[in-house]
Amino acid sequence: MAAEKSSIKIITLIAADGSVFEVEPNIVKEMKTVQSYIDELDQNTVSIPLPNVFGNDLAMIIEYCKKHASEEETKEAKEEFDFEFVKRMKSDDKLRLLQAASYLNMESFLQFMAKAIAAEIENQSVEFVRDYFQIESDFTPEEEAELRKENEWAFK
Amino acid sequence: MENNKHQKHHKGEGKNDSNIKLCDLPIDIHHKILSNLPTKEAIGTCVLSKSWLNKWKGINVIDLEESDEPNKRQQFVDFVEKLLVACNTSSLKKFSLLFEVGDETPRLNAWLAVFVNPMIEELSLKLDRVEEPLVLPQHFFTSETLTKFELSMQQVISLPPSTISFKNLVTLTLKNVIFPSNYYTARFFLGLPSLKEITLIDCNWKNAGYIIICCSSLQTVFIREWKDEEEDDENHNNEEEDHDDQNNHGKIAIYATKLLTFLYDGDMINDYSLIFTTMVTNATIEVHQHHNKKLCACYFMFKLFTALCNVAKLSLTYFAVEALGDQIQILNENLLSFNNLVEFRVVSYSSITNFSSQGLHIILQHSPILEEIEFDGGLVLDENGGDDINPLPACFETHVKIITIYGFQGSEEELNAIKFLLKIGQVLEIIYIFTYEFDFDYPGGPEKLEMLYEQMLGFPKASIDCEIALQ
Repeated sequence: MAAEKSSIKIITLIAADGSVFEVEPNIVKEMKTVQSYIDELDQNTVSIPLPNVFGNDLAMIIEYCKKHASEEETKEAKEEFDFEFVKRMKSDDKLRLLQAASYLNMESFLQFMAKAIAAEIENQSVEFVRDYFQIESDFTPEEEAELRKENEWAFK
Repeated sequence: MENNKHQKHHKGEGKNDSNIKLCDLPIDIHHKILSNLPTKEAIGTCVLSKSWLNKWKGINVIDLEESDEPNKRQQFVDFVEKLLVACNTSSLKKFSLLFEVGDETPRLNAWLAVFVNPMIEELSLKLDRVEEPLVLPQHFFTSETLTKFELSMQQVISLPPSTISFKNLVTLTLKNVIFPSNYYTARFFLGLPSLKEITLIDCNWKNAGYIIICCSSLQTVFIREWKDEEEDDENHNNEEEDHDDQNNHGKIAIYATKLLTFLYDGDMINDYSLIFTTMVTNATIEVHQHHNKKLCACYFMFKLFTALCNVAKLSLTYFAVEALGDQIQILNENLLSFNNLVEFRVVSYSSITNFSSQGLHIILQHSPILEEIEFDGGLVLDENGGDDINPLPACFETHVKIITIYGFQGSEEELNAIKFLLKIGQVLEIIYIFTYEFDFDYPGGPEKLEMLYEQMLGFPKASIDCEIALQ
């Protein structure tokens, strides 16, 4: 199973902090950024630096990929895993993992993180969301009041 | 996204507690987050800052639910009208709407004309009180993007006279839908080459007549049809109408060579046939007691059984089992075979499953490799009831390993059944017995249960190592 189209058996991923991860090719399939790198190379062993992803985050992403790539795991077990996975993360972790997912160009993991972040801001105040996303309001208080009034239909 | 993936977020490099700013990420990621919020909250993000003012308009998911409060109806309608104008509906991928339509059908049709864009992937419409025909845009019926479609309404589904084809539709759910004439309905079910899962709940097939559902990719069929109690009482008072009922149902033939799961739960309102479905491994046929239509039930199940000859997991209602036993003489018992059946479950509602039931005996007799049996809702056997079971099903000598009984109440008949199972189960490994908490929830109850357990442990066992687990 490991030797699919090329002869690459193990891929080494080097995180921003220098930590090294050795994974099987099927694990990185979801990471399009890594995959395109592998496709360009024609070597037996590949080592890929990922300067935008930290070791802790990469470890989590690999754990996620392994679980989801596994054919033995049932759909329910994967859902249970996802639930625990989100529970384990702090708010800031989520944004970092979202960024990593974006950088690695991982479609389904990106969707998964987008959902986790949406859950974070659901039912929260405008101030909370601004703080979480580090958005500085450039509206004057009058403008904001006007906008809220205009969009009253959405705020009810 | 491709362009900025290599050289961008270097800000946090080197320290692990980097501060990620969402605004540094590509805008389609913002849209992804917003699309995961309830639609109203997504719109609410317009007040965050100027750059967020119009961001929500890129959401590709809209989920609208009318609240139950009647005085909020106008507010909801106004909300949708505004959304229709403000939002970029051409990028919508998922649209769902829960709405009590009433006299607003023209308005609803106008909404659907816009929200159901040609690129829609998932559409869910749960509609109440639909008084006039619903009109979906013409392009919808030849959609190549639609993967999931759910429609719930008590109204005739209007189908166009032109081609109907949902090339990529995988999941289809229809609830309360009234099918039009045979001509239209038949064509609808022929244009579903990718369909894997179909759910039909209380659909009305009377006008459709004989319909063939032919889906080469179909893996799961779930049908539920319960008789309307009120309507039923009326019918029952009028015998003639009851007769009329015989010709007043649909006949549905399902051709599905890849079908794996078939689930039926209902009152046998329509007639179903399965054709080329020998791949099915998991089947549930929950036929309910209905004016003692045992003959009908027997015929209904026999037909399905012969098409489900390779099933490994089967679940039936006790009524279905009994009907089979009572009427089997009019059918050819030899046509029944459950050669691959491993797990069998009987669910009893009004009367507890009796182990000496002839129907049960017939099924067990034709299941040579059965390993697990579950009796949901209890199991009883009269004192000498075991004598009626002749010959003993061979699977008890060679295969039955696990028996589970739910709803044990501690009666003599229940103990008899357990005693008998222990006596005949030569390779039995364990009997699980579950009680309902409330049945022994009285002073002395737990002690009584303990006593019953002691009694069970004393029963002679054909399989020496068989355990009894009481929970």
